[in-house]
Amino acid sequence: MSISANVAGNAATINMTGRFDFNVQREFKEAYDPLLTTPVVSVIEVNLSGVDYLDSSALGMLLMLRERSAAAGKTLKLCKPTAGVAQILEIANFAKLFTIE
Amino acid sequence: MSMSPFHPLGMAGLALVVDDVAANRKILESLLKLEGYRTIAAENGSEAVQMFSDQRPDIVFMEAMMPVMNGYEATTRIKALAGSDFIPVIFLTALSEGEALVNCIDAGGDEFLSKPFKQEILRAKIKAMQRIRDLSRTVALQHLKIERQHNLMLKEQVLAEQIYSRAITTDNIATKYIHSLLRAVSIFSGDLLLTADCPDGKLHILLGDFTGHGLTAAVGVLPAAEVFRAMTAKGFDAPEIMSSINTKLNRLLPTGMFMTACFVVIEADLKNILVWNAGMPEVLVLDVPATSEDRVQVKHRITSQYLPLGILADIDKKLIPARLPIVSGDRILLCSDGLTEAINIEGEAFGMERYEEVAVAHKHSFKAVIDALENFCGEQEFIDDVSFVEIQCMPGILKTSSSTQY
Repeated sequence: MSISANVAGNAATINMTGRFDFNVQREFKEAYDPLLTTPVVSVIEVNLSGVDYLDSSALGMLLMLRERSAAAGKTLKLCKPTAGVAQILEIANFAKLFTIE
Repeated sequence: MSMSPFHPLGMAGLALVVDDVAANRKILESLLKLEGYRTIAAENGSEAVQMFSDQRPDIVFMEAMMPVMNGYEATTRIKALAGSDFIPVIFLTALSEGEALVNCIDAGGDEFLSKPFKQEILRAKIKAMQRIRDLSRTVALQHLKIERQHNLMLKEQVLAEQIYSRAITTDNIATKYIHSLLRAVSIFSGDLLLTADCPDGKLHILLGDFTGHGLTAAVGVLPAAEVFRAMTAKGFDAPEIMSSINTKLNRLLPTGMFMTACFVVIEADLKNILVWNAGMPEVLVLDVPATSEDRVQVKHRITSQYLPLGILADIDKKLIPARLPIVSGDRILLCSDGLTEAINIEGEAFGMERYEEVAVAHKHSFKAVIDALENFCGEQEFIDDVSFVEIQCMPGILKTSSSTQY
């Protein structure tokens, strides 16, 4: 799994490729922490186009990010999930909690 | 620096000196005695290996070029005999420094000593080797300590789990019409199956799957079970029970932890069921074929419509599941995602399609699915807790049923 983050204007994108599972916990947090404290950032997008697998720990990490984004006053979006990942998000009914594009 | 202070003979340990030239052996042995070692000597590699095996010296001085068996070969064997103990092997060589070092390290040696021998250099190298040996022994001791503590912890967990699962499962209803397989990856299971009779004759069944597995996943199991049982016994209905479990877990579990769940209600007249699916794989209701030639059909499918429990402070009360008609003999199949996501050696997932295919193709779905899963996974172990439940909607499953009534 590789994670990188970049900021363009007021939008920050977290790019992820590979397996999004419990091994990724620290890396994921290290990627989003600085974004939460950057004043110019108002939208955080998680780019899932490269993610081929998502487990329940990943769902948990997204929930954590959701809580922290809300606390920091940032909008959060989940973007471009692949078919398999989209299905996992659908079974979990995460569209009720997240904006998924 | 002058000569070292006198060591009582043998206090530094036992040294093995290996050299085919007697004069060389004698010189080194006397130098080593000055350093406080007792000494034994061998004149070739083969003798050296034998002496090492018999007497287990603390340090070995090895000449590289010898007849019968050379120093490199002997060193390899001696290191193998030493195992996890650090027994320094110092090569004796007349070769130039660079070349000597490379050759001796490659052969498994730890240091080299050039001829002609100098007392101070010998002493310095011995001291360096002793430091490494002391370090190696400390590490070995620490390892032993860690291993002991780990085993103790495992024992405690096994005991705790036995108490725990007795508390959870003891009060489940005893019936031959519910078959279940709950296989935990670690000692504690994050999957939970609860069954309880309602005062009005309904039957409540809850299959839950906590995020992760192991001890942290099992933390929410007991609270969820207590709410389920207490409220079912008091006549509360499924939405109220799910709501209470949700609130309890929301308060108890940190953000990011939740429980996917499947709540099944079998009504007292055995004519209808209600199923809430909050984040689990599709629930399948299989019908009873009219004749033995007919194939089993999937009568109802219930896909996940709710958020898993424990995420939001309140659950969505607007969603009301449909009442699904059943007849005696219909079967309800529940599974956790540990089953559909179980992988084989190639990393392929068992999958929902295969699960359904196998379940429908066999009269004894329960056994067929488990066999298919085990065959599919083969040597590959489960990566997540696996749960699979088959509920046969037979009159005998209900406490207050009377088969003549229906």
